[in-house]
Amino acid sequence: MKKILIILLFGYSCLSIKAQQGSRWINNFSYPHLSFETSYYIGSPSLHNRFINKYFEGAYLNDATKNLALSTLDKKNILGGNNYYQLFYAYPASNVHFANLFFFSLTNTSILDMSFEPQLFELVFSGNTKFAGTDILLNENSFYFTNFSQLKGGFSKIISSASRTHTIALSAALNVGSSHNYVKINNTRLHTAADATAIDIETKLNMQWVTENIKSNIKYFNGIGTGLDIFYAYECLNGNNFNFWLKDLGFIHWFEESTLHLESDTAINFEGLVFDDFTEIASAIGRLNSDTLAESFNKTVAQQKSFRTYLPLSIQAYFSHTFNETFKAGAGFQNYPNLFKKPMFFADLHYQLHPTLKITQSFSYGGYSNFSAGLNMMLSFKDFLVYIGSDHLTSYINNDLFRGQGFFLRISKKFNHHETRTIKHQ
Amino acid sequence: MKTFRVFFLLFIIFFLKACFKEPQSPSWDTSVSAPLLKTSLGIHSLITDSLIHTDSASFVYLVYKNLLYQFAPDSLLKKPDTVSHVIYKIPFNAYFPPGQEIINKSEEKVYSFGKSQISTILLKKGLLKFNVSNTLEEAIKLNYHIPSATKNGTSLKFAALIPAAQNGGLNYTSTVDISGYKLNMKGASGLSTNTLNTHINAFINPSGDSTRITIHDKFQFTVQFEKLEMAFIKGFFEPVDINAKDATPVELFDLITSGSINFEQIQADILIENGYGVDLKLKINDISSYNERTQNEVALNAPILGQTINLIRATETGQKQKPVIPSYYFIDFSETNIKNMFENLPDKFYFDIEGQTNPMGNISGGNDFYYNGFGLNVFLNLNIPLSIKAHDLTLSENFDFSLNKNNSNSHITHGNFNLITDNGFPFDAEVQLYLYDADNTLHDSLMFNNLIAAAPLNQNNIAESSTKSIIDVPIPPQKMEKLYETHTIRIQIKFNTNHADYIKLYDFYKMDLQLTGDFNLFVTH
Repeated sequence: MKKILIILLFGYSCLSIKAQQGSRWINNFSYPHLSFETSYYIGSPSLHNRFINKYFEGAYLNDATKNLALSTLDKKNILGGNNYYQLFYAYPASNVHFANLFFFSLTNTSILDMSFEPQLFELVFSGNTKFAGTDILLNENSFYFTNFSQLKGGFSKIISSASRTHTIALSAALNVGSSHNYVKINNTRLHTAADATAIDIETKLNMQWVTENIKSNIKYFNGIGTGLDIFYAYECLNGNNFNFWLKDLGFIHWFEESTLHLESDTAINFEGLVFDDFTEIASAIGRLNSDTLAESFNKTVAQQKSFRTYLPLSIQAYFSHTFNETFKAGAGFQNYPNLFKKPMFFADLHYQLHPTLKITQSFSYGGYSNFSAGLNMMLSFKDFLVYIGSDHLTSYINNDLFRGQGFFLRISKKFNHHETRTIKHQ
Repeated sequence: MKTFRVFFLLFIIFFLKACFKEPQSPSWDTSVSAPLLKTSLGIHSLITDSLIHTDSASFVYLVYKNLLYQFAPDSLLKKPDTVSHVIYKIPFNAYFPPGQEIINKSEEKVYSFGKSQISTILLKKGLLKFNVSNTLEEAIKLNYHIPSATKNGTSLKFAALIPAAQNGGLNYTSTVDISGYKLNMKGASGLSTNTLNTHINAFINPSGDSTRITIHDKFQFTVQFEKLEMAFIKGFFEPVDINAKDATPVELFDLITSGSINFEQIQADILIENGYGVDLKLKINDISSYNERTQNEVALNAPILGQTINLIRATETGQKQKPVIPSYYFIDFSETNIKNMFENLPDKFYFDIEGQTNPMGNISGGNDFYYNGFGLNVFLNLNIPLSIKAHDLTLSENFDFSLNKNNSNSHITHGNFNLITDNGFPFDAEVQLYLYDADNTLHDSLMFNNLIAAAPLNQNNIAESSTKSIIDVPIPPQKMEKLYETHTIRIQIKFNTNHADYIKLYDFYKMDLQLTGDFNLFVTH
């Protein structure tokens, strides 16, 4: 039980969460292009960054840290983030009618998404002693963590007229699932007797757990699936641009031998490890260090069963206007309908300070943060482009007022191409 | 090219990161209140079920049957060993053609069973072992026959081709299973005893070559019984003296390490069972109980001691399922000091028994018998109504113990534990746990300082309700560390009836125990 609660709250600490709202638009390549990109993002609108950092750094969480975190929690809280690593290659098509650009990418993505109530937080980090004699009610708590890799391939097609350009891009993905941990605890009542003689748990538990694939010995190959990305861009000569992106419309089928599946209404009355004979007393004491409640939970029927999960679909729209060669402004929104992550609205201001230096100011509200502001910088020299920044600088400036943290880095190399096609850049 | 190197490096980083996400391990202290252990201990938890009997009112009796002495069949009759021993040699050198018979010998082997005269033996198990030593340069065909050993109407035969000697000699060994064979020991005339007929002949290998046998050559042949177990023996068994001065263990009180117990009553008797087909004369000189811990010995004081007991022979029924009806001799010890002997909480009983089998000689006309599974046994039977007084009666036992904090994501650092008891037994109890380290040195204890109070008795001296007691067990961090270093725990429970009358124990008495804790759990995730 303890493990489930901990995982429900924070999952694997190996998770390094990364993401950023500034995603790559696919319509801006006129040369062969190779890039490496990484990004992380983690946040909670309510939970303090200081606590999150200490947790993921593997520090000791003392009472002051826990109490401070608890004081900031709302009745319902979300916490989550994502990170990814990507190798991307784009190649302008020649002599192909249906496409102007081909692109391929290899991506590894981790997603954490959870919702929890403060009583769960308190139960996990402070224990149940203060709740003795009372009920702990847990209504909506869930934990979701997934890690998967994708091999994507796609193309884009540009349809131009005198005053406007339409770009449509499609890509298909082969998904390889590594981890999938999902626990949902709803309508749960946990009662600790005042004299600690019994713990009663009534819970509606739904758990999907993908463990290491022992049978195949391919440790991180536990599921397979496909996905689809759709991208559309509209550009006008008057400087108005509009982009829309539907990303990761797909699924992963998790193999049976790696799964542990449990979906049940469970009622447990735990009165201690039961032993029947005088001679068993020492071995019973010796078992006390194991998670006895978890042991009781294990007696409920969990089964190995293959199942299918959907990728965390994201929908993103962005409108921008280019005022002149040195200034552009935009606004958009991003939503993950399958996650607890809130819809995020963002705006950015782009300043081309020098032919080799572009600065972007970003402002956002939503996601796993509230209001955040950030600064991004794009440096170009020779054929290289380095894009680095953070959309959550505010939390580094004032950790008490702002939430969320993350950064991104992209290094790309542009290759000369003898048959360069003219594709308009943003 | 350089660019590709950079991206190749990034590619490697990508996969390393994807495959090796090193977990960080945050840790915290959490305060947990939880039940830990629960059990219900009754009479059956303390005493082996097979010893417990109850009457219609659920009153508990301890029924104990202890084999005090057994007169083994081997003492009654010694077993035969060698069956045949033949040495073949010739006084001059000569050539022998194939098929030439070199041995043809019938023998009546008379065994010595002392003065016993055995007419029939039925073997339950056994082997006939052939040892052949041959220096002849040609194989020898050997036929061995025991006409008086039969099984299902067929006599025992053994045939073998003994290989020729190589490098001057050859040793050949073979065994034949003779389980189930009946040995007629009356000889060829049918009037003898202890006699077994055998026949052996040996030939130069009929399929071999002529061979030269010299005066130095030797063909030696030995047949022996091995691993014999008798199913049945008949004849006259010579009188054998019985002199038994020995001890037999008593395991009833193994858990008791100190204190005393008084029984209201003990019903005890000795039952002598004679399953042999011989008459017996016995004399019990002494029986005493010995407590090794206190080194206290209590001798039985009973009129039967030193008196001659004559026991007639068992009766043959002729039925295969139950071939013997033993004869019995019963000695009641209820009016003796047997109660004192058991209140001595003995580890063992010493006994001194003497006697003789067939003291009148061969009065059966050679019809003494032995059947496997039947013999002379002396049993001590006890029926102890568990109506007792206990004074500091202490039960102790050692248990292996391992509480490893390194193989779990959480471990208890300190806490306050409660032993909540609901005692339905009408006696007080004190529980202590002693902790021993890897060197088996006592290094700490968990002192349960409060008493588990006795259940109250009603006017009929029966405990109908239970008494609840809560015992605090504070375990500070230092003590908790010692618990993690503990390899053996000695559990000690001390009972006191604290009542003038004897307390009767009923089958429905039980003590519910629950260990709960308010403790600090150090969690590493």
